This record gives sequence, structure tokens and C-alpha cells, in this order.
Amino acid sequence: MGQTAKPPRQNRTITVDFHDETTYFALVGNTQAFVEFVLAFLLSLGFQLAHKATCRGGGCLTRHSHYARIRLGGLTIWRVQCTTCHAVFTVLPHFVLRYRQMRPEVARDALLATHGGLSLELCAVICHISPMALSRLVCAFGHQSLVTVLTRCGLSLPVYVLADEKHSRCLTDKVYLPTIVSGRVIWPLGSTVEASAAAFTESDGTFQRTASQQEPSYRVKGVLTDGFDSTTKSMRTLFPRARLGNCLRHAINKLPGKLTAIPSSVRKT
Amino acid sequence: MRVFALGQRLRHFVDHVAATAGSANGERVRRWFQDKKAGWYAVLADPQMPVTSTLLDQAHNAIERKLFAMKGFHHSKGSQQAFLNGLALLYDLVPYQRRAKHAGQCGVEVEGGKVPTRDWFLNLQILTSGGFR
Repeated sequence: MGQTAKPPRQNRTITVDFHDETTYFALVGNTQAFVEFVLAFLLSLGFQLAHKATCRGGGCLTRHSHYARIRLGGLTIWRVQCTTCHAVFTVLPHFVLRYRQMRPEVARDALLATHGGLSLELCAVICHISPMALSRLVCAFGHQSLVTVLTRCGLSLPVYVLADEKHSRCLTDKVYLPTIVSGRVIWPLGSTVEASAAAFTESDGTFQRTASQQEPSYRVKGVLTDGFDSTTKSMRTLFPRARLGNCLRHAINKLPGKLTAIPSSVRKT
Repeated sequence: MRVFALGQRLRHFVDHVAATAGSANGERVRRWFQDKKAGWYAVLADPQMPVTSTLLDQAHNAIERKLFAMKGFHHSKGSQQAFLNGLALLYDLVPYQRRAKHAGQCGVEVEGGKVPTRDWFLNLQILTSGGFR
């Protein structure tokens, strides 16, 4: 008899801002007040809970069960359940990070220092954590799709985008980071080992598929590239109806190279 | 109008190069323009189209510093995609200006999005929660 593998349980954790720890500890002992606080928080955010596929989300929430997080000094974590689809949501207070002992203040400082360009070693030293813990923390936040997070913020899917790739090194090997931005926001940031159009199409295709799932009528109207062949081809494949433009700054940068055969005395005229 | 002006200026420039530096150079520049001009026309024809890729270069420069700093990115068993997503989220959600027009705002706010609280780290916690749809 072969055993069938259990499908992984969906992450239904919700982080709730209880303002301070004392509020949380006061609410933990009062079932009704706790659920009402969670509901009020959800209403203030305007977010929908990830119910089961069959549920329309019209049911109530009820306090389901609790457990004590031993590594956090026996902190009680409550779970709430939808009365319609029975989906269970773990309510994580804002002062706890999922599956981590690290305090949010420490995580905040370490991430800010990293984001500011401080080396991993120094970030770890000033925040009294291990360098690997910081790396894992970044990965933990990165498990959510960028499209999902950004659309939760009310951003509409980008219609005019900039697409380019970053050439970087992975120890001795080269890696390429195909990127699409719109204004000051990075939408997808991928990684490939080849600079081919097929590799970029596969990487950016994840963004295109997720965006199309969110909004089936999604269409990119314009893409600006620096003229790199693989990026242009991948954009043409993914967004066939988009207008493809070339960056004017790159043109200005490259023009002198086209005139190198001309003597400088002539170029000055 | 801008598109016609560009075509005319490019032709004049090629004529000038051909007249001053010889027809071979003029032809080389003309061929380069021929390859690229469709892309430039596309930029000028649509006013909403971005003109330069400066904002993307800024993002790449910011990310590259962290890739260099974090050798965890190179870990063979590590999730590179999760790590890159995490870096991109930091880039999008950490406020990046102190004095200018968008002081205290993150990239998402600058682009017209709304974040749940004034605390960027709490926003990161809330927005990356798996329980929200």
C-alpha cells in the first residue's frame, strides 16, 4: 500500500496590529472582544481573508483553538475559523514574526541596515543575530508573490513598464536578473543563468501569468528597453500587443561609439 | 509632431555626418538610426511611455549592492527567487526619501498605492501574511 503524500497546508496566517503587547494580553482572555478586534482590524484594512475556494466569505469568524509558543515564553496564539468553509486562520500579533524568535524591532533594524547597503556581517554584528538568520528573514518575506502584495496596496497592474536585465556574478558564474519596473516600484525581479530570450521569457512569464490571473483583461501598452536583444524578444513574446520603445538616454550614450571612426577634429564640427 | 521632428532631425544629422566625415561614416550612422528609430518613435508617439530607463537603473544599483553584500544569494540550496522577492519588497516598501516631494513615502505610495500603517515593517508583516487574499 503506497502512502499518498499530504498536500502542503495553505499558509493562512494573518498579522494583526494590536498597537501594543498589553492590549493583546488583555484581549486574549476575552473571546468576543478578541474576535471583534480582529474583525475591526480586517475591516480597517479592507482586505479579504483567503477562504477555501468554495466559500464566498459571507460567514462569521469564531475563535477556534489556541496554542502556546514555547520559544516565545509560552505566548498564546489564537486561531479563528470561518463558520462557512471552516478555514482556520492563525492570528499572529504584530510583535511576533512567523516561525521566528527574533523580535520585530531587531528584524526591522537589521533589514533597514541591509537595505541601506550595510554589509551582512556588520548588520549581524550590530543587531546581535547570525548572518544566515538575516538572509532567511529576507527569504521568508519573499515567499509572497510581488504582484499579490502590490495589488493588495491598491496599485493597479502596470500598463507602461521599463524592462531590463542586470548582469551580476554568482561566485564564478554569471547570473542575470530580468526586472520589470513601473515608476519607483519593482514588479518582478527574476534570476536566470542565461541571457537568452527564452530564459527571460520564462522568468518574466511568471509575472505575466500572475497578473493575468489577477486581472484576465490585463494588457501592457508600452515597454521601454535599452535595446538588448533578449529582453526585447522576451517582451515581444509576453506582451505581443505592447508598443516597444528604446531608451533615449542609452541612445545618447551609444552615439559617440558610432562616431569613433570619425576624427575628433571633424566630430567637433 | 514630435515624431516628424525626430525623423527630420535624424536625417539632417546623417547628412551632416556624411558631408563632414565621408559617406561611409554617414551610412554607418544611418544604419544604426534605421535599427533604432522604431523604438524612439514609439517613445515619442505615446506621451505616457517612459522616455529613459533611469528609474530601473536606480533599482538595479540599489539591488546590486545587496547582492554583493549577501553571499546567501549564492547558496546553492537557498531559494534565490524568494531572496530576490524579499529584496524587491524591501525596495518597494521601505520609505526612501527624507526631504524631497515624497518625503517619508515608500515606492508603493509614490506610485499611488496605499499601505496599511505608517510603519513600513508592520506593513511588510501585514502585506506578506498568507491569510489575506
